[in-house]
Amino acid sequence: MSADLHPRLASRMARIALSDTTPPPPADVIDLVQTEAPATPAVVAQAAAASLERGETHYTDRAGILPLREALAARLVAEGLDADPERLIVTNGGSEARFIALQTLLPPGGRVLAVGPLHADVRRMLQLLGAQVVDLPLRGSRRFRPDAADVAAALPGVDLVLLADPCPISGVSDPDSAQQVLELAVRQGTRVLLDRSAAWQQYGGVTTPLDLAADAPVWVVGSFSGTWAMHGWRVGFLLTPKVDRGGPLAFKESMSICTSSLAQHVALAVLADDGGWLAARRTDLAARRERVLQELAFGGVDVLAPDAWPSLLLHTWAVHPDDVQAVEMLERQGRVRVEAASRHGAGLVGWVRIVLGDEEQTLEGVRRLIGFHLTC
Amino acid sequence: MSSAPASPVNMFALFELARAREDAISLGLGDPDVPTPAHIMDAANAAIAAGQTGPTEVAGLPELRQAIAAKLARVNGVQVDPQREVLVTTGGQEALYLLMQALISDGDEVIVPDPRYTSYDGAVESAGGTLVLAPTSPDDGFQLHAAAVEACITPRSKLLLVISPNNPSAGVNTPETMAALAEVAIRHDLLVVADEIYEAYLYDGAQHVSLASLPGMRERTITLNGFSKTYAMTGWRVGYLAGPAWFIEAATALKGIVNVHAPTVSQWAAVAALNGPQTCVEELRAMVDRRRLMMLDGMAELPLRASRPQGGLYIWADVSPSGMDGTQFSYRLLDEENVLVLPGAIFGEAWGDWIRMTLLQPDEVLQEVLERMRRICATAPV
Repeated sequence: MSADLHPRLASRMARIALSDTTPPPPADVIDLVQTEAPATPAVVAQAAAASLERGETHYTDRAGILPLREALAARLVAEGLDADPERLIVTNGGSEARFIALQTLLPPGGRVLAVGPLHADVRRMLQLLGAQVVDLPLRGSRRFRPDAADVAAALPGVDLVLLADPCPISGVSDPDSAQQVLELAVRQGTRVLLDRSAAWQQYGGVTTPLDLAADAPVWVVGSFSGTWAMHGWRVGFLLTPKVDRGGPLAFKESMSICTSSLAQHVALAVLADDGGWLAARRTDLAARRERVLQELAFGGVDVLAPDAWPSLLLHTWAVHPDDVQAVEMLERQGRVRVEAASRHGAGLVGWVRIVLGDEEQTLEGVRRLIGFHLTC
Repeated sequence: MSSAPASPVNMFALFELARAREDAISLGLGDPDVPTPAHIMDAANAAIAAGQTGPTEVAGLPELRQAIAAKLARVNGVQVDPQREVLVTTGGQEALYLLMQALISDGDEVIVPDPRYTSYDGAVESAGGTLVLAPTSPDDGFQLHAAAVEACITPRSKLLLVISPNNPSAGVNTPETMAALAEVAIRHDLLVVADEIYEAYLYDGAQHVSLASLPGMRERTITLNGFSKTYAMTGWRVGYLAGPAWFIEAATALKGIVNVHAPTVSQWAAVAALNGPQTCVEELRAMVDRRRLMMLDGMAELPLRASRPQGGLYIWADVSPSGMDGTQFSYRLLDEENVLVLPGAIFGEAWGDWIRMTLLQPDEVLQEVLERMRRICATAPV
């Protein structure tokens, strides 16, 4: 929160920190939080060049180009979701999809039930919107999976359930629990925002299938960024229930009119055929994950084996029971940067988060972490 | 002055209605009917080929912010620090949204010229603000007079929106009008948004003055601009805000939350747009000017009163002499002649007799539109 808010700013600006950037680490510190930026699939450049050649540089339909919405709908249906192009809105990245959904669904001061760890950026979004976040108890022993009894107890008075599967913080996918939560919420008439932005990043391939009817009050967010290394292109999507499309579409229009035409055509191309890029990346990252997990196990560090990239949660209570302190000690003394997991939810105290980046660098960083861990 | 009622017709819904009709001629969208200039396309292709497609800073590529600062100094006489006083946005529309969210609290009043582009409504309302309309008139080319603004000022007045050249009226505030507006803004301690999206389209010797360049205005003015209209880049989604550092810091924080940053390739294209040859800008302007004169000539023979655009991309015309109001005229033109123009009611309650039509179709298409309008007028009850 900003204590010294400029008097000309809107009062809502007091709800968020205006500057939320962490300075880069010193040169001799290995950064295990830096997301890897691999080259995008070759089809991205080819599709972009072809789109420019065709002169696709004008406004598109505000919901997004129809071929992309058709391809997305087909992909989601194949994954077990009920979807059709008329219920899809293409957005400037998954963040915009999430923002549109939250802005549309939440009443002023609305209560949001966070099922599982919630990314700090999403917390910030909720703060900006003035929402009250209700956190469920998180238990590492359950891989931070929600407990149905906890969910049922917390649901009354909640305006929206926020559920990410897989969870971008823990990397854990748990379709069975997700299904339980959805059923509980739907039974009580509570709307659900299902964040599937990491759904295509599962090491074992996409597991869904969540049984969602077209009229279920469930909104789904997706993204191309983490899957195809397309962060800079800013493409995501929002799937709404059949009856609810008007509000978010009008809001999208008033916020950014449409999504970049070029980015939409690129997204269409990777969905159609990425030349095996995603399969190869999945294999590569799965192997990388195994090596890191082996290294950590050998070093005696507790780790939560993730189902989706790039996150990996480690238990660092041996360094310090407070993860914020542990992070400081690891950077100052262990010369490795990790992230305090508790910034994504108080239930994550004692855990730190790393991401799988460049393999050599990640393994070197993990060895430093283990080395410091052993001295504690 | 008056508070703005909700627009009775959704502009984008009309666009989609027209899109669903085979062979409809759309004079609805402000989307230049020409390709993005070649040097801009080349820069985008080069960025793609070089793999410069990764994420950027939330505020935008430093190269683009530098180019924007240089352009503001060169073209507008406005000095800004590219590091602290510029934010690249995902189009001008998002710039509008962000600035309203950053500045407007519940109950704050935003003074807007009437008629107005109703996208302002959504941005102001979603921030909890209230639009207050300052009247303008065809009698003097839709000048936004300081007296009209002053009559709107209350203790809740927070922001004055100055859109020049204007959408939809196509009026351009004279330097004298701008100086008077600046004086009122300073005297009443108002923040000002200078929407300069159409600054490149000026006709009949009209002059564009950037409010931020006037004495005492830099610290209270936020300049909003984009690339869509000037460089035929509507689909690229890139625009910008320039203003005091305290404001840009807040808008950047919002941008980071809402959608992170503008598309990277679009930003490289925008760098080329600003730093490259500007002949394309004059070519576009001259093309629209030629069409403007052609349409004004053609419409002079019809029972319509078109105001003479001094800037922008639109013709704003009173169709009441035809015996129809703007909505009747627009719907008949779409139903019977497959041509989309926008009813004036979209742009304000007082403008029910008017229509807005873009000049962004080839000359021969515009000639055809004139013919179809002639047929509609010939069968109208006069």
